[in-house]
Amino acid sequence: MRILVAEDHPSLAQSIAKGLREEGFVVDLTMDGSEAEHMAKAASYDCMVLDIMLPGIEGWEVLSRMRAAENRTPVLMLTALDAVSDRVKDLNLGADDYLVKPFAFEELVARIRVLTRRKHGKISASLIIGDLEIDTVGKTVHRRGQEIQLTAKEFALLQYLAMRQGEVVSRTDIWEHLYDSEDENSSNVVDVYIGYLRNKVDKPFGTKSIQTRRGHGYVLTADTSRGVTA
Amino acid sequence: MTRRIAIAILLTVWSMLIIIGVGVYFGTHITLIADLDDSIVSRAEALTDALDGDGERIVPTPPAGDRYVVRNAVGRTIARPITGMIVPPTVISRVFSTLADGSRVRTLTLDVRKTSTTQPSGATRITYSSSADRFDRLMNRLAAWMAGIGLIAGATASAVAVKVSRVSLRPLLKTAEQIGDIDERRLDRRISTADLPVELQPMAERLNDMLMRLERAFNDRKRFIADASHDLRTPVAALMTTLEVALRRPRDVPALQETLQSCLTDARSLRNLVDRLMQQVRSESATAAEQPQRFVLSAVIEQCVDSLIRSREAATVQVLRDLQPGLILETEIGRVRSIVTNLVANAFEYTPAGGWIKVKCELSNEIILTVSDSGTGISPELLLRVFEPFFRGDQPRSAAEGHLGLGLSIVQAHVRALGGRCEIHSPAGTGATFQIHLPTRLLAAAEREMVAK
Repeated sequence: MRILVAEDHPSLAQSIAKGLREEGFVVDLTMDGSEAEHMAKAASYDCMVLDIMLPGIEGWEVLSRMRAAENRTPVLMLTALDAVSDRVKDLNLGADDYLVKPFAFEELVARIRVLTRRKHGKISASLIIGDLEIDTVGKTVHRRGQEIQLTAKEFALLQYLAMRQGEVVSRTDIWEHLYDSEDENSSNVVDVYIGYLRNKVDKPFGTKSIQTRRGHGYVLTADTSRGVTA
Repeated sequence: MTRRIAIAILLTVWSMLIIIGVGVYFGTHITLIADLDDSIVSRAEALTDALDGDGERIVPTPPAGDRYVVRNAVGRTIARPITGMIVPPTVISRVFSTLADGSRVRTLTLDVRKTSTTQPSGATRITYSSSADRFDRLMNRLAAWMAGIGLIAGATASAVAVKVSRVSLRPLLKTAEQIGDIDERRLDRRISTADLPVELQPMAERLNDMLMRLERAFNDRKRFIADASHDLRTPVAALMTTLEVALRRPRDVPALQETLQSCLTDARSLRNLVDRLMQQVRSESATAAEQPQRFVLSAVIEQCVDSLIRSREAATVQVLRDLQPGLILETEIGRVRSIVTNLVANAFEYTPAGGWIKVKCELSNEIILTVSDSGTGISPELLLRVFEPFFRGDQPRSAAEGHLGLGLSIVQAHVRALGGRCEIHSPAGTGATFQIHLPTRLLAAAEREMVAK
């Protein structure tokens, strides 16, 4: 899940980014309104955390320009104004949610999860693909009642594929949503992680839920063909 | 109030009734007695005529109820008439008396004299009594009528008084009700002057003026608190988030140190914010915060400017000074320092590198302090707002950097407290000039005399 955080208070911005990264999100950070607008245009984010007061262009202006350009990225507004009229204004401009400063970080994470889930048409915190069960809050994966241990990166990859189950997801997409500029820059990394994931999720159970579509990418499907484990 | 007005009306009406009543009663009383006495005198005169004659004792029959006694000059009762020309009798006494049978009579004693010289000197004295029945009857009837009419008039007056006072107080009561409805949530209400009597309108208008001032002050205060809490929210959020994120998992010492450092920075910016807020609140109180102190204005300005220059890392802005020497003020030095420091700091903030700031003080018919800069200037539509608390020329500058937009509002509050006024000039694109006018009464006494000369 790739998230854009636009907040101009340096330590608040750094702390949010750090906390979200530790939750397994990929975070891009900006402290400037016009930069936020450009970044939202350039990349596809799963969610955007937008402060109302930003230098350059103010947050609500960024939001209304995004919506005018038909950008449907879920936006969570951070606001220091807690009058009902201010909150209603944000929502009317196309914000999906808002949090009034100061907020609990846990709540921010929970709300971002809801927004990203909803973006991909999911309403529950757990994703079920055939006999594969992914708990996005507890960050656990079960197959046929058996827990599968995954690293943070592997989990993020599986979750992203699960969010878009049945769809072919390109390497670029995966790259964009799961890695930030700090990560090693090679699309080969995606293939490597897909390999790791298959080893843990499919191989022990004899299933083929993660499939390769040559020249297109990968797709996660409910593989009910119970492979006979030899 | 109603009761007082009613009582006032009643007292007036009743005392008038009593005065008129007493006047009429005694007037009538005196008139009737005079009338009775006149009739007695004329009857007594008739008696003397009757007694006058040739010596025969003629006993005239007096009207029913009348009695008389005639005595000569030495006091003997006589039946002898008096002859000759009779001069008008002299009334010696007039009394009411009650007879043995209980009837009341009016008795007049008259001296009757003749003009004739043959008669021994002295008068013939006639004591004549006549019934006072008619007089008493008339007086009693008068008293009864007056009491009746008085009672009716009094009762009517009372009712009218109560009614009048109620009616005349009704607008006042209505106004009181309107005032009672106003509280801090409904300060936008006004007292309607439409159906108030003319005498009460000035009061209502003054009250409305007061309400307007209160409303403005209250709204300013409300906005101040809202703005202040708004500016406090972000650093508090930063502090909380940094701590929460840090506590979500175990950290090593360097990571924790980094977190603590970041928290300390946030806490410092919070402290600055709170300091500035307190400064603002204090600057607004008109009561003297400190003892007046004698000081040389130019020296204080120099100090403030120098310490501001020192606190800035690179001196990229030229500071020009044109300070009239020897101006000695006697006032709160803290306010003057705050005015100078905030104005010059503001000029620094909006003047880009390579520009200049000019600080000037002079004495004409006022003490004038001018701070001008070659900075970005202020657009005309913002000119009026620069003294508002939390107003920042370039909107969303972060409060974390210490740009609170309180400086100029603190300046204005201090200037007002010192009895002066602020002026801003900012011709398009040529920087801004702030001019502070302070009254000459802030000068030390000796200085003031010089100005007077």
